[in-house]
Parts: sequence; C-alpha cells; structure tokens
Amino acid sequence: MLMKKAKLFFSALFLMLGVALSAQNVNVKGVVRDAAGNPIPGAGVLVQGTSTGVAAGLDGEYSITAPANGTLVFKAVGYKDSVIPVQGQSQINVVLAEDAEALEGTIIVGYGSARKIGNVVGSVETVSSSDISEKPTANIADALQGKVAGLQVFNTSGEPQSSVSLRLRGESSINLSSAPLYILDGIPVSSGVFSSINPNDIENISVLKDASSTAIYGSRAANGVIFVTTKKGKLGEKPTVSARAQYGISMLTMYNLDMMNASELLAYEEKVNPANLTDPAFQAKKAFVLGNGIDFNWTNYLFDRSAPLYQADLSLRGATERTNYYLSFGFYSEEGTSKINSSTNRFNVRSNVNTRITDWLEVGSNLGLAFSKYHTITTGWYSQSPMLCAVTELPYEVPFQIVVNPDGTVSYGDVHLRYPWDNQIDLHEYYKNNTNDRQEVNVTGQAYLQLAPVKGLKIRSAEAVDAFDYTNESINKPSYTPYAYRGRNAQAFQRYYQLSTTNTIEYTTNFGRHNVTALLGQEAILRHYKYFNATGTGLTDDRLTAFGTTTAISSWDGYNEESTFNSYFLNLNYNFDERYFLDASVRRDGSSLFGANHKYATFYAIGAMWKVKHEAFMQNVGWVNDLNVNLTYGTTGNSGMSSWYASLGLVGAGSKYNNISGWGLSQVPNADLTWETVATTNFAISGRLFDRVGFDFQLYNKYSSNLLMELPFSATTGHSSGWGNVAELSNRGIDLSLDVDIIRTKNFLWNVSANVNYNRNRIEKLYQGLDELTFIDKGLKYQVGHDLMEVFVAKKAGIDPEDGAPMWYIPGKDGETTKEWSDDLYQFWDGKSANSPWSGGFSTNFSWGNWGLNADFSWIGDRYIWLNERYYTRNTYNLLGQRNFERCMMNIWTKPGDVTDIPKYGTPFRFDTSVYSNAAFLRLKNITLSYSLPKKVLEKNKVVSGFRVYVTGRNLLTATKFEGYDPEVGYSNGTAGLYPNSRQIVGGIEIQF
Amino acid sequence: MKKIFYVTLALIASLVAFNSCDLNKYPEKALNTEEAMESAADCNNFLVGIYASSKSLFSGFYMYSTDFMTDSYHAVKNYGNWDGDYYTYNIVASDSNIESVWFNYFAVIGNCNFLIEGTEKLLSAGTLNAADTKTVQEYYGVACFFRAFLYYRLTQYFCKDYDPETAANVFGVPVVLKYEPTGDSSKYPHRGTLQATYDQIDKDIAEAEKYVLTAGSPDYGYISADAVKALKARVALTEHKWADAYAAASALVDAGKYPLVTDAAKYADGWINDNLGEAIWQPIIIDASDGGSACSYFVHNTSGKEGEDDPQYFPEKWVLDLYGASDIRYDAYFTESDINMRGNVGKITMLTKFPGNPKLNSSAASRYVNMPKVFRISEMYLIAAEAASENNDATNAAKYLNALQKARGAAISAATKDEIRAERNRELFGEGFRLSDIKRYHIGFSRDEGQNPALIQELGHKISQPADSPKFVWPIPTNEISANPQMADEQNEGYSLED
Repeated sequence: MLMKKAKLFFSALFLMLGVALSAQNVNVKGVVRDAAGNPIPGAGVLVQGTSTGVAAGLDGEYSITAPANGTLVFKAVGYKDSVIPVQGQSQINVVLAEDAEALEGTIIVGYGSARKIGNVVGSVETVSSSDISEKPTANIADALQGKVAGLQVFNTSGEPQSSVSLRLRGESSINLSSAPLYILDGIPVSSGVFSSINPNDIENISVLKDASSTAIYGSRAANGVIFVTTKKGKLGEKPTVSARAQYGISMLTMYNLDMMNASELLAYEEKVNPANLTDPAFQAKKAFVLGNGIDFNWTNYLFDRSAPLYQADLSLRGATERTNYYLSFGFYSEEGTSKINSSTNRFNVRSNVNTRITDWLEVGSNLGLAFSKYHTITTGWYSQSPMLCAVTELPYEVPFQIVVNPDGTVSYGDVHLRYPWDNQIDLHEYYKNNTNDRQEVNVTGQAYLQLAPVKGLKIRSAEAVDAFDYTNESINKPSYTPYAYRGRNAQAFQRYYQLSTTNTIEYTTNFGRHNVTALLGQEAILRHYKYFNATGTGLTDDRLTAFGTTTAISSWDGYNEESTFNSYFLNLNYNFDERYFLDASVRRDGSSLFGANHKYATFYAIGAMWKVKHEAFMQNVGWVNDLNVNLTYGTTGNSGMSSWYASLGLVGAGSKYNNISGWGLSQVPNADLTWETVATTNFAISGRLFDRVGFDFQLYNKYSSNLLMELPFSATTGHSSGWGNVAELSNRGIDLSLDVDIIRTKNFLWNVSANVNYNRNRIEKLYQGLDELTFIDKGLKYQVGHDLMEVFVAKKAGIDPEDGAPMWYIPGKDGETTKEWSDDLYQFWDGKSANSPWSGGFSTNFSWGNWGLNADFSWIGDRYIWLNERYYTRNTYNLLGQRNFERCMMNIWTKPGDVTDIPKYGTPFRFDTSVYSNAAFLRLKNITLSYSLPKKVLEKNKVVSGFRVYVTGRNLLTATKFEGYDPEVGYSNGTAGLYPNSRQIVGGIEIQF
Repeated sequence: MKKIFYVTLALIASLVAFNSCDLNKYPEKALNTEEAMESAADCNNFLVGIYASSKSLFSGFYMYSTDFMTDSYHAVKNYGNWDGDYYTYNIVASDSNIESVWFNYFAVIGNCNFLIEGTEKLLSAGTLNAADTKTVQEYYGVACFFRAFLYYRLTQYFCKDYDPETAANVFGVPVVLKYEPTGDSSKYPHRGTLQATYDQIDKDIAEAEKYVLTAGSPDYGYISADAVKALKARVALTEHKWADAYAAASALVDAGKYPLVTDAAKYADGWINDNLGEAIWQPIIIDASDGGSACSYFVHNTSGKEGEDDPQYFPEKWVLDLYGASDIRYDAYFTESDINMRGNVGKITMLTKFPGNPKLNSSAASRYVNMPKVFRISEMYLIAAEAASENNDATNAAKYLNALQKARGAAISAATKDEIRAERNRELFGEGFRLSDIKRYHIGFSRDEGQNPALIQELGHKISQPADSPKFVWPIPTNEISANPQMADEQNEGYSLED
C-alpha cells in the first residue's frame, strides 16, 4: 500500500515538473530488470539531452514519451547506465548490469550502503591500503602521519607496543578526550584496534572531518571519525593467494641531547669546583680514567642496537557468484631499540565472508582476532627507567667491576647490581630479575543479516563485539637483593567488551533524475570493563615463582563497570541528476554516562553540494574534469569521560575508625551533566583540472561548547568542586590538499601530492565570568582569546656577566628585569604554544615500468615543548659529581665578565623559557622502492600471478632543531624521559598465486 | 515472494522489539547517594565515616596553629618558617592550611547533614523495629553532636568572640543543615550572624542531649552522653551562660566517673600511652599511619641522636614559671633537652606533652602521634570554677579550682579570676585553648624574653597584640569567597580578597 502511494506521489510530482511533449513523440513502454531477472523498482528512465524522465514502478515497468529518434538512458543505483536509442520502438525491455566499477570507487560513510566517493556531501579523505600495509610499524596510525590535511599524528615512543596520539583539526575539548572515534567495518571500536590489527587486512581508512559526515555517529563523533574498512573478496574475482614476508631492523631515530664525554665532564667538574684541582682523590680518579681511556657510553649500554623486525602475511581472497571471502593470517614481531625488556609479538587472524543466500537475503561476518605478547620498559625519570640512566650516568664510571691486570691494563669484571657511586640499580640486571609478561587478546567481529525484499530497500541487522582481554604477570625474583619488594608475584587482569546491535532500514530510489536515499536506524551499545589484581608475597626460591607459590596476599582490587548508549538516527540523501546534493542527518543519543536530566541529546547536520562539472554549461570546458562546491553544518557530541559514573552522587568507603570502614559522601551528584557539543561549519571546493591536478580546499569553524570543567564549589556544600558543562573553545582553520601528475606517459608516472592544515585554537569562555585560570606548575594559563596550550612561563633575560645570576623580564614592565624569582614572573611568551597551528605532509610517487619509488614526508610547525630533562642535564644547583651534563654547560659562568647563558654554579634550577625547545620537524616518514616482475614473464607460468620485492625505510631522515630525543612529542606541553622513537629499514617479498 | 514477506515481517518485528540498553548504570565500588541510607546499618556506616574523618580534626595543626598566634611558644632560630605565618601574623586569605581547615570541617558537616536527614527520614517512615528505632535515634543524636561541635570549632577559628550583646551584629559562619551540593553559586549561603550560628549549635546540643543515651567511661572512644554534656559546658561558657556551663561541668565532675590523676608517674605515662583515664572523648587511633595529626614540632629529632633534638617551637618562659615545684604536670609536660637546630646548639625546655604513643608506631622511628584528648575532666573543673566565679559564686569556684590544684600538687589558691586563668594555662597548656581564652578574656599579650633568647628566631620574638585584635580571627579562605558570591563582602576585618 505504502509503495503504491509513494508511486502515485512521485508520479504526480513528475507530472508537475512538466514533461515536455512534442509532435514526433512515441510512447515507449517496458520493464527494467537486473541480471537475475528481478524488476528494478524506481529505476530512472530519461530522455537523453532533455529534462524528461520517469521512474519505473514496483514491478519495474515504465512508460515514457520520447522522440522517435531520441535516446533513452536507464539508470539505477548500483547498476551501470544503459543507453538505448528509441528508433521508433514502443517496447524496450532493459537488463541493467551491476556496476562493479561503481562499487570499487565507493566508501561507506555512516551506516548505509557504500556511496560513490564523489557523491559524498561531507568532508572525507581516504588513505588506501598501499599507504598502510608495508609500513614497518606495529601501529597503523603511524602510517597516517602527513597523509590527511588536518590530521596530526604523533608516535611518541619507540616502544614497539605503543599507542599513537591523533588529533583532527585541533583540540576540541579541555578535559575530555580529544581523540577521534574509531569505526572498524561499521563497528565503533577502541583506539587499541590500531595497534592490534594486521595492516595487510586493511582496504582503506577514511577520515571523516566535518559534521555532515560524522553527525550520524552523534554523541561520540565530536573529534572526527576514522573509518577503517577491511578487505573482502571482489565479485567475480578468482581465488588469489597472496604471501608476503618482510624483515628489517630498528635503530634510534636521533639523539639530540649532546652530553659530555668522560674527559669533558672531568674538566667541567674542575672548572666548577676548583677544589677538585687540588683534591688528591679527584686527581687520582682523573688520572686513572684518562690513563685507561675509560669513557663509557651509557646510551649504547642500554639503547641503540639494530633490533630485528619481522613480519609475514598470508591471505586468500576471491568470490564465487554468491559468496565473497577474505581470509588472512599474519605474524608481526618487533624488538625495541632498548636493549632490555622491549618487544612485541603479534598473531592475527581475519575472516571476512559475505554470502547471498537468495536474491533477497545476504548474510556475512567479519571477524578479526589478535594475540599479542609484549614487554615494555618504564619511561620517565625514574630509577627503573633506562632513559635517566642512558642520559645522565657518569661517563667516567662503568657498570662493571674494574680489574687491574698484572700488566697494568684494566678489564671489566662482573656487573654491579647497584652502582657504588650513586646507588643506581643496574637495569640489565633489574629487568632480568623483575619480569613483566603482558598478553592481550583482541577480538573484533560482527555478523549481519540483510534483506532486500524489494529493489532499493535494505533491511539490515548487525551484531558486533569489540573486546580485549589483558593479563600482566610481574615477578620480582626473591634472590634479587637490590629491590625492596622482592619475592613477589603480581597478577593483573582486565577484560573489556563492547556489544552493539545496529538495525537499519535503507531505501534508495530514483525518479528520473531525482535520487533519494533514506536511512532509519537504531543502535544499542553496552560496554563492560572488568578489573582484578592481586599481589602475592613470600616467594623464596627463584625457581618457584608462580602465583600459587606465594604465601600471602599484600594488596588486591577488583570491580566491574558498565556503560550504555541507545541511539536512533535518520539520514536523508537527495540529489538531482548527480548535480545538486542535499544530505541531512539527525541522531538522538541516550547514554548512562550522563545526568538524569540530560541522558538524551540530539545531534544533527545538513549539507549541500553542487557538482559543477555535471552542469550542461561545463560539458565543453575540457580542462575542468571535476569541480565540486559544498557547504555543511552540524553538531556532534563528545562523551569521552574518564569516569563512567561522573553524574552520580556517590558514597564511598572512607577511612577506618577503630579498624572498621566507614562511609562518606565522595562525589557530587550532577543530574545536569551532559555531552560536550561541537558545532562545525565546513566549506569546501574540490576538483580536478587538466586531467592532472587534483585539489581540495576546505575552510572550517569548529565551535565546542558545554565543555566540562571542574568548578570550585563553596565548601559549605560539603565538596570542594564538581564537574560542570561550562567552557567554550573554537578551532578555525583551513585544509588544503593538492595532487599533481607531473609526468604521465605509458611507462613513466610521477605524481606529487601535498597537504597542509592551519588551525587556530582559541579559548572562548571559561566559567563564572572568569577570563583566566592559571596553572603555574604546568606552565599553562587558560585565558579567553588564547590557545589552550599557550606557554605561560618566566621569560629569561640572560645572565648578568657581573655575578652570573639569571635575570628575568618583569611582566608588564617593558624590558625591566629582576634577579628575584617569584611566581609573579610568569607571563605568556609572545604567543608561543605547545600546539602548532601548521602541519602537513607531502608525497612523491615515481613509477617507471615495473619499478616504483614512493616517499612520504610529514612536517609540523613551531611547537614549544618543556624539556624536563634539563632539570638534570643543565642543572647548576646540586648535581655536580652525581650526573653527566650537556656539552653546552662547559660555558658555565665562573668569573665576572663571563658572557654566557649558563648561570653560576649554585643557582637554583628554574623552569623558565630556557627549558623550552622548538619541536618543529620535517620527517621522511616512509620511503619505498619496489620492483614487480613484468606480466609477460609471469604469463609463462600458470602458478605465480604476481611477484614483487621492495625495500622500505621509516623515519630515515628528520630535520629539526629540537634538543630533546625526538620531536614527535604527543599532546602535552612537556616531556621527560620518553622512549626515543625508532627508524627502520625493511626488505620484503610479495608473491601472488 | 511469500517467503520474503514472512522473513521481512519477522525481521521488522525483531527490529521493533530491538534490544535497547538500560541507561541507569551504577558503580560497584561506591553506592548511589540516593540509595545509601536505607537501614540502621547504613546509618552506622556513615557514623563510622564521620568518626573516621573527624578523628584528626582536633589535634596537630588544628590544635597548635592557634596557639602559635599567642604567647604560648617561641620559634627556634632557623626553624624554617614552619607555620611561621601564624606565629608572625602574616596570615593571608589564600593560606592553604586555613583552606583545608575550612573545607575539612564543612566536608564532615556535609556528612552529618546527610546522616541527620537520613535518620529523620527513616524514623518518620516508621518502618524500623523498636530496637533499630532506638539505635537510629542515638545515631541522629551523635550526628547532631558532631555538627554542633564542628560549628563551634569553626566559630573559634573564623569568628570574633561570642558576646551576647553583640552576637546578632557580627558575622558567624554559614549554617547549612541540608546536604544539597550544587554548582549553582546563587544558592550558596551568606555567613549569617554569630547569634544564628550559636542558636543552631544550642539546638543541636539539645537534640544530642535528648538522644545520645550511651553512658560514658574514662578514655571512651565514642560520643557518650558525657561528651555531649562536656560540649554543652564548653559552649555555654563561651556564650556567657554561666549557670548552664556550671550545671553541665559540675554534674560531670560530681558524678565521679573520671577521677583526676594525682600520681606523677601515672600522669606522665597517661600522656605517652594515651591511658590517662581523664578523657571524656578520646578518638581511637590504631596506628600513626591510620590518621591523627602529629605534634612533631615540639619534640622533633631528625638525627635520632641523643642531645640533638630539633624542635621548631618551645614554650615561653612565663609558661614554665607558672608551675610550682611539686606540680606533677611540669614533668609530664616539659623536658629539658640539648637541641641542635641546624647548627643552633643549646639547652631549652621542650613541650613533651604529645611525645607520640610508641604503640602507634608501626616502624621504629617515632611518628609523634597521640590519641587526641578532645574533652578532659580537668577542663570541666576549670569551666565550673570560671562559671561559678562569673556568677559570683566564690564558694563553688574555689571548690572546683582547689580540687584540681590539689590533685595536681599545685599550690592551693583563692578563686580569683587571675588564679582561675593561671590554672587553666597550667592544666590545658598546648591543647589549643589559648587563643579562644584570650578572646574570651578580652586581653592582649606580649611574648616574653624567652627561655634562651639566643636560640629564638628574631622575627616574632617579642610580638604583641592588643585586646580584641582583629588578627585573632582567621580570614575566610579566598577560594570560598571567590566561589560563593554571597560571601564576597563578608571577609573578616583586616584581610583583603587579593591576598
């Protein structure tokens, strides 16, 4: 009934649009069917070159009046157009072929079917598998660096099992997560997917930037969406087996801390403390060190080896008439550049199978499993961290017993468990005796059922799971005496699962040139987290270290947490003649995360696009291949709360009285707690010119409101603070991408692409009428009108040559300085920030015959990062004789008249502008040289269909003035003892059967 | 086509009856406030929480910080300015310790309010059996006691002395009786008058008297009817309600339940091992790590070596001179010692009234924690004497004063105002009463020459303050005033917002 009414409605609509009739017309009738013989309802039938058109009915039948010498064009979504001259016929039955090619150039945005890339109204950028699969890193997000305008990616650690931080178009939140939403084959997943998925399984990654493309994800899409699609067999494809193996090595990227060697440090210690010149003990030590050439390289002792990296993949893909399949197995193994306790081993299995049981019923499943086993080191400035030791240990000391041989030479004996000069534990020994075994199982999977009862209508129901199981067993061997907590076995378990149900109804139809898709959906998500740990004590024998052999439990914890989402959404997509596009979405989200009064919120977006090239007047403009203009506006939410129960008033177990636990009010209820909201306006012009130059220019304004901040409460409430949705923040900027085929001949192709983003971050509002909030200990001040990460610091004015004392500029007093340190000296530093407004990347691809050379560069503009290392490496207060220092310290002020920037010894260390360094960089992220055997050669054998060898390098070159280890510092304004980033050289072979 | 129809129908039916999630989720490690007070046992858990969080609110900093603002102590040279802002009257409104006192007291008051509301609701619901009703009533009474006591203590820090003539015209502290936390600053309270604060204190004490029926015993760790009476006596003395103060204090003394210690050794041991037998309420502390505020400032010994004590503060000379030769308190409270404070070496007499109970030290080194003696029977003797004297009842004033003097081996004196005050100093020295006493007596003070002038920090050595100095009152913390617009113009005299 409904369809009949719809048919009548649309028929009437077309009548109203006016059908031009002329004298020589004939009436043509017929049926539009697909290859299987099923009618295609709503197929468009157009008279070429006119605006005349009708839509086929439910049964595929149509009737149109056309010029007897005219031509009819038959169109339907997912099918190839069919063009048939009328030639006076009155009956034309058409069979439309499925458009495999159209499916090829499609992406899925949101919940429905795939759409042609060019027909997506919102701002979407796609990175293909070739950019991802061969990169020598466990984390695929690393390969996105510099690839997408507006997406900043930082791989902050050389730890093989490390996470990568991503920001799309700036920081859009102050206290909640600013990380994008990750979707794997339609399932929202945790960011862990990036380090657990096999890169070879990825078909492409789409980055959804504006509200039009993300609003359908509603409450979690405020920071953009990263949509990962895995491979599947292609219709009509022969079964193909693809095998690949690659092997390589990792090294430290760079090492920009310029430390003194043994003789320099001894000279420095004499310069600073002249008493050493006459101290017999010091002089004896010096003579021994210099005489025996002792100059120990602590960095090499702990880091900078050529660590092996190995990867192997095997996959099978193909399709029969009704079933397509992709099966793969992968293994990845990487050791860190740290010589101790840093490695990962990962096994992956994936199975993607889709089958059409009948013409109207399709089922399928995507299943990914990953098992990782890894070891990680402690970073930061702790005695268990190799970083501190590698940088600041004394080069004139060695970790071994020094044996003086009878001939007067020296050799090294056993290692010291604790170094006699500073009590530091030897870290090789420490990690040998204090082990960590981390294991993780990741599961992402979904199964779906899709009905197509009538053409154009798809009813789909999908159940999905995203889960991990993590265990960590750490053992402190009983015989290892330097450690106070020896003889322990600690167990930690985490289990997380997210179950989601997604139901959608999608209807696609076209009436003549009007193409309409409507999607109605519902989604329910349950997240569950379980935690348990226990520490057993009392181990006495290194051979018996199982948890079961401990004799007492010293600490334990355990709990479950749950959170839920219920969502309803609607998307309407309309286009006229693929020229004018309109896209509107609305989503209503409910979540357990928020307060009773605001559990539900509504997000929406609307977008319009004009495909200028499809206008008649552009048909003859040959140099323009494609030109699109679009404008979108919409809202999305952020629910990235660290606590799942932040809106509840809570009563917790308080401290004990007379050994009995009491209760106390622990958290303020906030029934009004709700989503942070980001409203985004996006304007874009994109296209392709001269069949050579592709471009994409985007202008955006992201305005975040209802941002959560901790508000100070009157103590009379019984609480000191509570969360409130109060602050506002904006990110405004430009994305620009260019892609140029410089040379394109039969055998030679040279393509260059580049992208750049400018993003201006600005605090728009704080709370309670305040326009500034200061955090001196963090070197930050939030002030309306300023960047969120703007550096707030005392500005150093140099060292007084007369007395060697540091001087600072007095804020607000032009050029006036003081030697008196106080908190009042803090001020903004001429707009310098830890956020860079500029970032981008560029790539160049050569292919010549069967050779290919591809290089990807990424860069980021000025970022001023607080180097906490300098508290040690440039200390002028109290570390003489205890630590090594940077070479520049040789210039320390020692007498009146010395002009230097290092103050006299004894000056307290101050966190002023001299601890900051500019972390701008340009990095050759990846470079690949490859050779494929020519088809001609392969044709002779019937087994191997493809053969390719390649060499890839990652992070091979970096240009930076940064004086820390590596300029890829994450979203923080400071760094201390990070695990230095690594670079790799890898060779690989890929064979297809 | 028929099959398609059925399957479609089935799928649509399943879509309609889709699996939607429950949006009300609660943690396992904490209770939802709304469901946390449903039985007598729940009330008890909250009461334990109130005991636990208040056990450290009457000792350590809470006790000695106000003494530093008087003529009780001198600071040792090179004392590192530990709490020097109080000692030298450089207190600013942003002082973080004062912020914590203000916040910690109101945090416990919030829990009291929640418990009082909860018990009222349970009792009025009429669902409890007779035994539980009695128990919950007692919890209610104890919560009223705590609320009264905490408000009383807040007035001692943040308000001028209570004078019935002027109390309606001076600032009190904001009285909040309901647990209704909100970020809406327009709902935050004004300070109200001191009279209003005391009216509420009196009301709560009256409720506590009615419902706290547990009998007290020496050194009892919980609130008893005796503790309520002791609080009543202390508050009534402050309120100039001499008859009430006398009645409550003398009743406690006359009941004879808390005999005064007369033996010197036993008295000294009582302060070390917290078994004096004179405490009406002595919060229970199991281990130094379990809470309780330390008094290391008076007996600190960093090096652990004999003769190298390094206390930050030591008693003034006039304090030591108060005691007669046979007074058992002198040896219990004071010890002469060789000190070495960052190179300043010499002999001084230290306060050793709070030496740290060795049983509370889980490790060998002393952590200087004793169980606080929040109410002691000797204070009741002194309240009875002072109240009687103010009421022109010289006979009874002398009766209680002399009884105390006799027990401690002090000279028996006439019950003059000065003698009563001197006895109060002798007995309660170092227990945090001095600043309140100075305010109540309306006197000023000057620090004296000191025991060993060479070892005294110059700054603050001979500081003096006039009677009724506005500096005897702490500032309302800056973070309160900036969060609470109602209190924007209600800062105490002499403190600015900018501090």
